[in-house]
Amino acid sequence: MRRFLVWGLVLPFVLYNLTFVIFPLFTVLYQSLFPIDAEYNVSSSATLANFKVAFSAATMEVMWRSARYALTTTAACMLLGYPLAYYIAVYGGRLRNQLLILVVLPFWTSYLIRTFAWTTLLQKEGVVNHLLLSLHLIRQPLQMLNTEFSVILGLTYGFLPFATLPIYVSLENQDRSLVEAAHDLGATPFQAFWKVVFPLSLPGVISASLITFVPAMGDFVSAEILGSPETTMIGNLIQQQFLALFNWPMGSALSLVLMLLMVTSMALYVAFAGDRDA
Amino acid sequence: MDPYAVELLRVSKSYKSYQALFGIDLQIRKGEFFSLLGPSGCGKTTTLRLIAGFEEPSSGEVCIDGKPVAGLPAYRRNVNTVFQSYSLFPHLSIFENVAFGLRRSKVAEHEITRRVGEALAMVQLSEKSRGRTTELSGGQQQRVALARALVNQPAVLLLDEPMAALDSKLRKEMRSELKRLQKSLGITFVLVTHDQEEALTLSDRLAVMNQGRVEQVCEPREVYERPASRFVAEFIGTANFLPVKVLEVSNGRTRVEGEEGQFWVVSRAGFGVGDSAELSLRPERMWLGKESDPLHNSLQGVVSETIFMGPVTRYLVRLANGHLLLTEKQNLEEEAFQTGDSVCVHWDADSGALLPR
Repeated sequence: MRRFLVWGLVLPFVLYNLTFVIFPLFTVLYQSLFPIDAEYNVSSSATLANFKVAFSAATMEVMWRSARYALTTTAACMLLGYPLAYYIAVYGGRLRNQLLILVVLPFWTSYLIRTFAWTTLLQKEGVVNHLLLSLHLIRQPLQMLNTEFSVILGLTYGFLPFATLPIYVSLENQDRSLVEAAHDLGATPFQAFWKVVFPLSLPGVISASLITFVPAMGDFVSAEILGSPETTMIGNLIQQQFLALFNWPMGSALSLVLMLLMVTSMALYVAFAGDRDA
Repeated sequence: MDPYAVELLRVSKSYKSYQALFGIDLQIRKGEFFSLLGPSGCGKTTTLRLIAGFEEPSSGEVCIDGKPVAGLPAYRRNVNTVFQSYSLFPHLSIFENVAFGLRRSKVAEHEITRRVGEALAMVQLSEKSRGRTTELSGGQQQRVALARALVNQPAVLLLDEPMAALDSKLRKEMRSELKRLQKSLGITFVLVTHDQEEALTLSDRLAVMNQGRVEQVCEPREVYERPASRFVAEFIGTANFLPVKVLEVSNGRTRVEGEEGQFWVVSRAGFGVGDSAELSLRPERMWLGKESDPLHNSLQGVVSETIFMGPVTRYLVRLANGHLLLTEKQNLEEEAFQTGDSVCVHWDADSGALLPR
């Protein structure tokens, strides 16, 4: 009876994963092995031809660029998100929840639309250039749109709430008396932060960086709307294969390679970070 | 005259919605074990936090070692605190927890190793120094907190209800250990507690606090036998209170009269003929007899309830006017009284304490 109950409880989870994770993954893998030619004829035998393209220097360049953007985005999100989370957790007082809602508020609008909004802000005749010109900080409007800067800005903007929340949680759960204990033992406010508050918030920083890096690496919206052909990310390549060229096998192969690289780098990161923690 | 280890002069502290301290004065001597005793909300923890530097007084002055410390942040004060919840750093080893203060004051590495080793030996945790604080029991965490504070050789050690989270057996052990440490180190200890037994057994002197004011500062024996107010008498131990009027003051003895009769009390300054007062009587300082005894104060009554408590029995005696008097009698090999027995309650003139009313 008991065993029956356990299986009954586990079964939905197992079925869900089989249907929506394992099965699609195998479909992707299966498809990637049967390339199509220019006339959309599916190859009759399994081959690694698609993976040759996926691991080619040209693709790897895009992959590396994506990683660079994602890393910069993650760093920017940490630098902006940490002080934000710290401020809300420590000084937010009774307004904490309201401030948190403000952090999450952009989520109520579609990421696509929010990214489009940046084009009006960043374009030559846009708000930002206007402001800088009228303050006489620049003489010529800046080319901000369709650059690396605008793509990374879009990514940072999009994922900042993801970065802020885990850091907030780790700071908010901290016992404030630990800071008093540090002061009591002669630590200045700066030392109390570096020796106590920051190390204790590291788990939050680690999960925040993961939760920012992973979607930023696979993102295509920001590069599509705010970028140029020179800022193509791996997400754009995959999206093109599926939606523009209808080359699903190639798209599948690219996805798998991206997934492989991400899982490997994340595993290394977590092992390193987890080691630090212990 | 040596300056006091800690001195508070007319210190008040108010928060937005309420006032925690009303102009308190305290002088804590060097090398003494001093306790701040009182119920929760009496201002004892606020007082401690003012000394530690976590809060600044709204008015008045705090001096440590004879020097005013206004505006001096906690990290520049030569005092250390043992927190109620210990507040050990979970990300650091036991060794690093204890070394934290020394590292902040840039003590040399070999000196740190030596002093942390000594501090951990002092609290009998030498073999655990590389372990994590989360692996320790409550009592052991407590010891680490003590070592972490004492290793800095502070002028004053502040203890904020350090034993509140321990079970009663451990608490008794920690108590004697604290006393031993304080004696051997000669450091001034200031203990905040709501546990009267703790305060009485540990302190050289103690301050009883109530509603943001200091009711009495004296030695443990005096606070029990000569309480300054009804609050003190009730908070420390049990007492009976009889409302009385002063009839006569002569030869160091005072004659008072209450509804129940006339009694002699050893005089205390501040009472004159005609004053209203309250006579406080400890249950264990009274004894029961069958007949009245002209040499002592005595009252007639009937035993209305007996409560057997092991070493002693408590008797509730109903007096002629209907009031109940609680007395206590050791269970020796003599006759016990039964409910309904007519008895006489006796006490010596120096057993009662006269309190202002």
